[in-house]
Amino acid sequence: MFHLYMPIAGNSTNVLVILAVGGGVGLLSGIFGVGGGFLMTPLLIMMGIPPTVAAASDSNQIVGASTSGTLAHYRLGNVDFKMGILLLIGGVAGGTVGVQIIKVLRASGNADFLITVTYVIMLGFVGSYMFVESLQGLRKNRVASTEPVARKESGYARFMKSLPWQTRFEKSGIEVSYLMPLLLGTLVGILAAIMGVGGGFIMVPVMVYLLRMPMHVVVGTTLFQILFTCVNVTIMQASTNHTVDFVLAVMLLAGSTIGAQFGARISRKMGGDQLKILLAALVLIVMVKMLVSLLVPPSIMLAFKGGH
Amino acid sequence: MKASATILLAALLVLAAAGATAAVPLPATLNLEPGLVEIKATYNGGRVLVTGTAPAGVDVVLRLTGESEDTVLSKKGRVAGVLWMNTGTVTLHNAPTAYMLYLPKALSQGTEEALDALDMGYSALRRQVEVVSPGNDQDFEFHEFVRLKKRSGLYKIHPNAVEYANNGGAQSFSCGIFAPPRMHQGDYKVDAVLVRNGVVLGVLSQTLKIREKGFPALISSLAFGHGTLYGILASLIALAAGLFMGTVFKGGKGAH
Repeated sequence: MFHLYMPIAGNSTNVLVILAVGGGVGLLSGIFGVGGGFLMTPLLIMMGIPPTVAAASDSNQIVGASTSGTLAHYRLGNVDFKMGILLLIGGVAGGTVGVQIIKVLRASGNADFLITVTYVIMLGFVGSYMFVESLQGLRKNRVASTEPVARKESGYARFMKSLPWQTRFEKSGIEVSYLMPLLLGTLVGILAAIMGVGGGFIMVPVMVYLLRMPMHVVVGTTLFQILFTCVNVTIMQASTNHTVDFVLAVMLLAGSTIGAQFGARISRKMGGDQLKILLAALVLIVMVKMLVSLLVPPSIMLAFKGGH
Repeated sequence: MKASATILLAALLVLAAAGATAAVPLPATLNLEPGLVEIKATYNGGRVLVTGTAPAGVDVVLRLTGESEDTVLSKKGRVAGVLWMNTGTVTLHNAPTAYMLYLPKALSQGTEEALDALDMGYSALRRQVEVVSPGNDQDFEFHEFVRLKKRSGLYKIHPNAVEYANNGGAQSFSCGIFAPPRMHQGDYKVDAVLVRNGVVLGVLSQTLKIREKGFPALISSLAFGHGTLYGILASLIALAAGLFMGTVFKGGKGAH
């Protein structure tokens, strides 16, 4: 009862369970501007879906969730299209470079070890930094203030101002060089491709701390960008690996598009520091989960290939 | 859709105790009902009733075997002394996609060795499967492969599954087989192995067909036949669903 067969995954699943999983992950996506692949893919694998199909079908559903989320955030005035497009161009270029780097790394042997350890350390560092910083912000100022403009004039800020082609990003309320989003987008694209993740987790802190954008605009703008990244991944996966299960994606979509709408509303009601501290906690949970999976001996010494 | 076979086995009944052989015709039948399981949109596994007849005093073991394929798996190992990660690949050649045994009560208490003597069970399967990996752990890796398959329900030994009933001089047997949804479309061989006194007297075979039909078949043909178009369509539908939901929510809940 309530089961649907997923022809590409080659298994059947309970519709209500998938709707609930989609709804939960869509909610997080709408609140924090992350794709949610880090949560969704392992859940789907636990439900008996092959890792490669889980990751690819998840990309397909993120297209829907991020469209829904972008639209909701756009209405709330939270999407900086100009910034998003620049980051996206950088991201595509970075992704292409990253895929080549990963080929070289894999050929050299120890790549998986280096990548995983780097990923864990980075998540730990970013998560801890965000957590401490937003905790201080919450203590100092109970009223949510998302503009980090009152920072001291650091070397980094002077460097940003010294770059050519300065331009104003209205929605974000900042003035930086065109080069910054392009370069940072490329960097995130490279990292995302190497680590095999969507990049939302890296992009959000980059936008908050390196581009100094307000948290709410960061969430809306990341969702806008994730939308295009995932369209690209879905088409690539479908054409080369045949791993997109449309039945699974549609079930997830039904839940996640609704979840994303509620998420956007919740996001709006929260202060910037509250949002940051929750996202930091989420990043740290993912880091701990990865660390545990690395330290605890697996129950079976073989595994199907693929997944994040 | 009823598949049936009546085969007069000219198998030699080996009189093991006397050390002599005598040609004894072995009348036996094997039927699958249905012989074709269709995977439709709400498919959640299929049930097949296996029935047949065998001479009195002969035990019947049913063996379901999927098509053989090459499987590539990641091998977990320790890196830097503490971290468990993928450290290489293991390739298994000629491993069936599914392997299930259904035993009668008389053979259900036996050991793996007893099954192996009948050329059945995982030890017997080990001889058929070639494990390619660096190092000398191939037997262990096969063992882990079987555990992985058992976990997904595709390799299983069912004790006390085949039941008998007297039917004149012959005995009839029956067994319900459940094909889990993870058994993909394909041809599966169902054998009835006739056993007496620890000796295989003969084997009857039938083919169980599992086929996608309707919506699942349409999706599969699109995904594998027109991958790019399928990807574009999947993205467009996801986009439309996102836009639709955004519009619905705008109308339903504007004030906040």
